[in-house]
Amino acid sequence: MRATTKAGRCPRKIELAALAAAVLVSGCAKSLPPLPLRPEPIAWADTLPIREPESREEGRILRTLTVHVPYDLSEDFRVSEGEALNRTHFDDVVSSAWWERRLGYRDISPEELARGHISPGAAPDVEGTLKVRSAKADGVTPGFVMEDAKGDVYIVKFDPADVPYMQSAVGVIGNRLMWGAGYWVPEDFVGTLDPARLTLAEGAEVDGTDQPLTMDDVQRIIALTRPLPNGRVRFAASKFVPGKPKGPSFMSGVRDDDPNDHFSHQHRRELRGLRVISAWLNDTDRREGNTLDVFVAPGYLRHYQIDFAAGLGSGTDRPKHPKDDVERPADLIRALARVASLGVYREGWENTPHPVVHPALGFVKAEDFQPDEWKSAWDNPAFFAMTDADAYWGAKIVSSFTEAHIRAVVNEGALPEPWLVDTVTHVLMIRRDKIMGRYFSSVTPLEEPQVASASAQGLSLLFQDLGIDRGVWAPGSTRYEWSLSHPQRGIEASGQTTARTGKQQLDIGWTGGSRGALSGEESLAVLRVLAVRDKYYMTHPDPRAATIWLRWNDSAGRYEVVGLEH
Amino acid sequence: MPISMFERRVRLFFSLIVALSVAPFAVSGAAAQDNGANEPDTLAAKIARADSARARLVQPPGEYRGIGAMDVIRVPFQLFGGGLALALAGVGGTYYVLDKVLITPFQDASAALEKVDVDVDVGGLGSRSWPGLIFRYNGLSPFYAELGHSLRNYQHYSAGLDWNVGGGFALGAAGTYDRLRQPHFWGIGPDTRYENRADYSQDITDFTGTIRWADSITGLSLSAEGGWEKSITGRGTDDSYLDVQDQFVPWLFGLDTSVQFARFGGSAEVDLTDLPNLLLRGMQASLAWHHYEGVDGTVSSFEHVEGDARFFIPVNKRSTLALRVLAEEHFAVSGMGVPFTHMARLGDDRGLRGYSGRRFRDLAAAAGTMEWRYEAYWHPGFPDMRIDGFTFVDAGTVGPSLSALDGSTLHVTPGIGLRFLQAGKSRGEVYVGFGGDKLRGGFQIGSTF
Repeated sequence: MRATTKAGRCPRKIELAALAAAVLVSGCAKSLPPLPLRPEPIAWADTLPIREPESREEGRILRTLTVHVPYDLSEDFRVSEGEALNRTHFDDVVSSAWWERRLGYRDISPEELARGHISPGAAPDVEGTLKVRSAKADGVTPGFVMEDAKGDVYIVKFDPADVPYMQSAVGVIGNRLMWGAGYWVPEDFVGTLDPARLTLAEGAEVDGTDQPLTMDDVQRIIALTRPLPNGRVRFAASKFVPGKPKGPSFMSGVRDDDPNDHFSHQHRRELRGLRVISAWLNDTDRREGNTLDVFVAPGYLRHYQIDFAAGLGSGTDRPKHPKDDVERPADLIRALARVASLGVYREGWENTPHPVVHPALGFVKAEDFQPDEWKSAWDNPAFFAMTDADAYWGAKIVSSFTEAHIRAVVNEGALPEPWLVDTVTHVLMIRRDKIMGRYFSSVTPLEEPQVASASAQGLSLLFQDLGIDRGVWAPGSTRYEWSLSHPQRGIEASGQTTARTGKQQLDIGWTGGSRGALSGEESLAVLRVLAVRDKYYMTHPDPRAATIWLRWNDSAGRYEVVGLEH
Repeated sequence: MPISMFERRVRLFFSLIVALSVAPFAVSGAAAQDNGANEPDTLAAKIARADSARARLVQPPGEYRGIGAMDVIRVPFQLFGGGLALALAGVGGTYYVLDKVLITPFQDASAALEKVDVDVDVGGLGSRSWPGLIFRYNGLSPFYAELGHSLRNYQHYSAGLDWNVGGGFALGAAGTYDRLRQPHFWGIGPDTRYENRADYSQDITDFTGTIRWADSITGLSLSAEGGWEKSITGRGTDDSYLDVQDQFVPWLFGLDTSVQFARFGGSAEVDLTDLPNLLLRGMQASLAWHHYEGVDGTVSSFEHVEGDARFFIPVNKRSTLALRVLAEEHFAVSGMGVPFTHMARLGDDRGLRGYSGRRFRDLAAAAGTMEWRYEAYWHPGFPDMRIDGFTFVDAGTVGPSLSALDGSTLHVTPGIGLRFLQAGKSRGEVYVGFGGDKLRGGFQIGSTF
């Protein structure tokens, strides 16, 4: 998908070489049975007890060189790595230790979304004594590990002085929206504290050293932020998640010491689709280092996404730059292109104006946002393997957030002025609509296919067109081309119909069609439905038809829907 | 997203299996966490039951088997990344060792010396010196004392006065002794042969007094100086090459003898550059004149004039055209002439990066450089830092006088390079020059141009 939308950047010869390589080895890859004939993934199956795994480190440099760099460099040569493997028969994902069905699957009010997963009393008690256990004095965002009077422990960070409100607001907004999207996230908060309440915990030390922490160190960190007029300082706090941290979740392979870890991570749909959700939030720092495996009761690994401070217009300690979301920090191909072309090679961002209208907003694209162009700072195998269907799955979740949902969450960011709330809300809505338009265009966004009536010579199929339901297209701008094929019964039929408001209906008829009990793959008929629109929101429209799997039930003398693929 | 009856049935079936498997653990989960350490058998039993349940789970394949097209396409990039990892491990390992045996001790020593007003610097001590250490004592400021020693046994000793008087004025006075061990010499004129490379040594004693004035607003600075110098050349210490004495027989003024000069002169520099958006623009120019008068048996007298002008013209936000013109000449030459060590020279950062430093010598030299600079890498997280690519064409020649320079002897060396900049100023660069005696790679702390 990305390769097609970047046509022109990828020389023809390279495409042909990639294609040749694909053809050469295509016979080596294992072919899977049709989706309805595969076992289905089982909800929560990865929450069975396991032996406590060892903690592991990210090893960022080694991972970067052996994983991120090869994936990044091969991006312009990309060919499909196949569809995700943990799909249900209806092209969906079941709840697991990675992700849970939330918005789009069940009713969640804006208030519930804003409150999200926050348990009562989980916010730091800033009116009691605050003990600093350790501090990170260096790095992009200096901060503390802090214990409040309740004994709860938090990672606390402060907004840099020249971008007040920015990363703390973005962090909480991203946290709530990511929870709504179904991912496991810690409990994050925005608040203010009185620096005078800070004391040193016994044995407090500077992170990464055995040097004792001093109040001078603490004051130095506090001094990096801008105090509020009342002398307090604003902070972002992330509560330690219950359980034992076991290191990051890698975006490829499985974790050897986790017997619950069945699906290679790069082939998990919720990780592939995370790219779209990250693009929506402009969370360019969505990388392995910002994930956390936690050994939770009754004894399994839950996989968290953490730290959302680099979302929207925030570059964490600075406003984002137009380069941030379209070109990776270590983009060797483009750096080499600049060197080889003596600087003639240019990317669009190089001439993009990037005004920062308010420090709390940073710089984030709205109308200029191009989902295809969006890149996280660090490539990873799951994002790389994302297919149109994975992207559509992610876009479906994004499309579930209404304005009321978004506004309720943005309010949680405690931005200093109402117009900032309006602005962030509208930016997220515009980006949401861009995501919908783009990824609903590359597939036929057909959902909930049902056989309304059926006979030996035809059937009436009802379904939802999410593109119409979510307002991307009007019914009058859409028609459906369908084809039915069941060679074992001698059925080949096709036709088309126009869309309408509400549920769509296809009346499919055929002649002939032998009777007799069929089993396995022979019992399956394939109904392909292509939504033809008058306009597509993508550079090179090549939408895929939805595949509806029908099984012939000979005793009932009719077809029934047994699967769906986008 | 409603599901079909079929899926409902399938889900119900498997959910029942999972529920039956998970329930015992879910019920006793908290207890397992709290007491598991004290009841290993119980915990083990629970895990064994979970393992059994896992073994019964029927799930779709968890990974693709076999080799996919992308796996093949990615191989060269993985080899590249793996190579980088190995190289980095090598560099890291080397650095670790160097840090233990050299860098940290050096830093510790520097810090200790700083407490007694001694600065330590790493740098060169003359042509082909290799890196050396230079110690400078500032404890009696504005007086100072310096000594240096390089890996090739070059030596440097200096003491004097470096006094910022105020009002833009500065006074300097220094006595210096430098010992160069193996500078190269190829002969005189534009057509000297690469094969004739030879080396020599040179001991220089110098006493100089200087007065400088600089105006930060106009960018103008003027200086005047006078002094005495003595140079003794001898055999070089590099056994790989013939000595100049053997390669260039029978006689070369300045070789195997002591030459002594009284010297006076002055220079003017103007710097009209600025750094909008960290992109250098404007011009810099300098002009210097010196008179050399042989003393104490050295029968020689000459004038030396040297000019250098540089122009930096931003073409857009990320590219700059840079130009340089360099010219020098010795004239009014009398007596035994100009010692070969004092002649005008071309090579390396003096106008011809495709050739070694001092590759060409004569009474006059002129060179022109055109350099195209462009941003190769920049990251908004480190806005002050940048890597620029540059491509250049250096052209120059030497001759008996500027008016006698022969265009047909012009040497042209194009090249490419990368320059690391911090706050718009070059911290170092690497480049490759073509068209010289051979392909020439160069590395420079700061900037050649």
